[in-house]
Amino acid sequence: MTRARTLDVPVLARVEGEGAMHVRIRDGKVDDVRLRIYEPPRFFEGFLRGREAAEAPDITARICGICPVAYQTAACNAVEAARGVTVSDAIRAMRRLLYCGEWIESHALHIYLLHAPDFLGYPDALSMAADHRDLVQQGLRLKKTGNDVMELAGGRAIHPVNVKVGGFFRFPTPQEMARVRAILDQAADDAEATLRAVAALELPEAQMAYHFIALDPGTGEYPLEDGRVVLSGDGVREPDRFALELFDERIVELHVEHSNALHARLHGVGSYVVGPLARWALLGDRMTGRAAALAAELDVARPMLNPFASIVVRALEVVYAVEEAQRLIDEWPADPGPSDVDVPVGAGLGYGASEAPRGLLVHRYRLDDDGLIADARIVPPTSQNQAQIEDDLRTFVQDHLDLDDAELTRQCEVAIRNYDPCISCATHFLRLHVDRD
Amino acid sequence: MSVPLVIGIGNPDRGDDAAGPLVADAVTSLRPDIDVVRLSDPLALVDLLAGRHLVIVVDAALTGRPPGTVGVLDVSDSPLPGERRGSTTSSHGLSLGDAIELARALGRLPDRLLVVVVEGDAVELGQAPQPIVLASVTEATTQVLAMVDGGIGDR
Repeated sequence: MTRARTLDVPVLARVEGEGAMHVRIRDGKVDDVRLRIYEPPRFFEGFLRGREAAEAPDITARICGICPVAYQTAACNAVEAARGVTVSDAIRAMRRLLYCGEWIESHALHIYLLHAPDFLGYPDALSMAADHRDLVQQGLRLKKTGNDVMELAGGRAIHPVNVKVGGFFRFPTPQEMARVRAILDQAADDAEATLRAVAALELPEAQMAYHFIALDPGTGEYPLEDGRVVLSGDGVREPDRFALELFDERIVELHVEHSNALHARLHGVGSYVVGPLARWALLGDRMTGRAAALAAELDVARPMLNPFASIVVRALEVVYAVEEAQRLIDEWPADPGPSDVDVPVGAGLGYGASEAPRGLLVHRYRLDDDGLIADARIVPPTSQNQAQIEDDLRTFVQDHLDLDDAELTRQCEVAIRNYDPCISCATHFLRLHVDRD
Repeated sequence: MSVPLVIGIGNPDRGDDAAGPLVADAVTSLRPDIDVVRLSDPLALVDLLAGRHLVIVVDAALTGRPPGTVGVLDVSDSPLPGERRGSTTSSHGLSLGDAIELARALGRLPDRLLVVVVEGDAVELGQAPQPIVLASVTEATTQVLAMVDGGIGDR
């Protein structure tokens, strides 16, 4: 007799975008796992064709309301690479500051409103807020500080308007920077309290064998707003390094029938992980100051192979981003020079990347002689993580077949949220279907 | 006494969902003495309510009533009725009802919180609002100003 069970979640909650999960179990074996992304395709790569290169940051920012800076920055990096332009240290520092704001805002949203309820035993953040008022206040305060940093550097928090190819329309004034610098001290305390709180959570146990991919900025810093070299490895052995220009050769994107997002595979490896776990595994030794001290004190494993502990690494990155924002403002030069460099119109092929809150984001543009985009490719983090999410679910379900359908389904949803999947970005909301008898 | 705040919620480029921002625009041009905010993410509402005397939120609604119908709901002491918890047309963040309840749980509600809903039934991205919904923007604006001037916040 064949024993079959099916777990189905038709609409995944607390993820960005529209998706569903389907798991089928036959004779005690998981035989089919599908993370189905049914949010309609977005066609951004098509929209970009024929547009001026200078429009790429503003058009691609619209891919996501949570991580617009990631798209804007990678687009600028790609167009500048296509035209052989490098920006000044001050422009790079301002991009990093803007990006710190996005990490703080996006990570705080995920930690407090999307993921913490899973580990504190609440169906949603609303129910959690009634019992953990101070905790939620702390999270909202952090998120708001992230927004304030984005407004400072980007002009506004959602879809910033101050970013342009070559730099910024203007740099913030010292007075504007001082105002935000003042609130970052509170954010530093909130970030440390957040890390201590999530490090003390009772998380489900799991140990995966991961292959990680992250961007090496080449500056000795923790990866964030730029990089020309991709690191690939398990976080234990010395990682492979390849130039960003080889991304198309190394990463194959496959269409799978059940998803409107492409599945990414690393040539010769298969599924892989991008995001906080990957950055921490491959470049965690670049953490500095309070973040490094807290990671040591709290004994945060590196590499971290328990996907449920991604919330801890995310909280560690918030500590780092707040401290980095403080440093960037403190070290801002009295005379930063022009806020942009000239990017002459013309042809070229350019790759640009940045580390979005959810992981590596790669843009590639081919420009024609008139500086119009002839061809565009955008590889967002969630489509890269999609195959690994399915692998995690396969392993997790196989190891927890003793759970009833309701609890197994709930824990699968938690496992998906480990990746803070941004399905809107990847498509190109989640329904779970578990099939067993 | 604090200045009344009008918050228009919605995506101006998503058909009838533009009703909230359009009312906000109308209030801005008619009455510079009233604070006006436009939001696409209801979560941001949580930070705007505390310490206010009167806040009026304007949002499009899809409840099945005829498009263009304008309604006023007082949510000062009770949740937004008829909204299923966790339901939202946005893929990012919370629904309006959830954001209001989060603010309530955190003790951040103003003295009086009213929600003006403009009924719509077409929220396709990139579409303009239907004429009947555009017409009701004027009615909703008139009601918002009447509430501000009628001292509805005083109770």
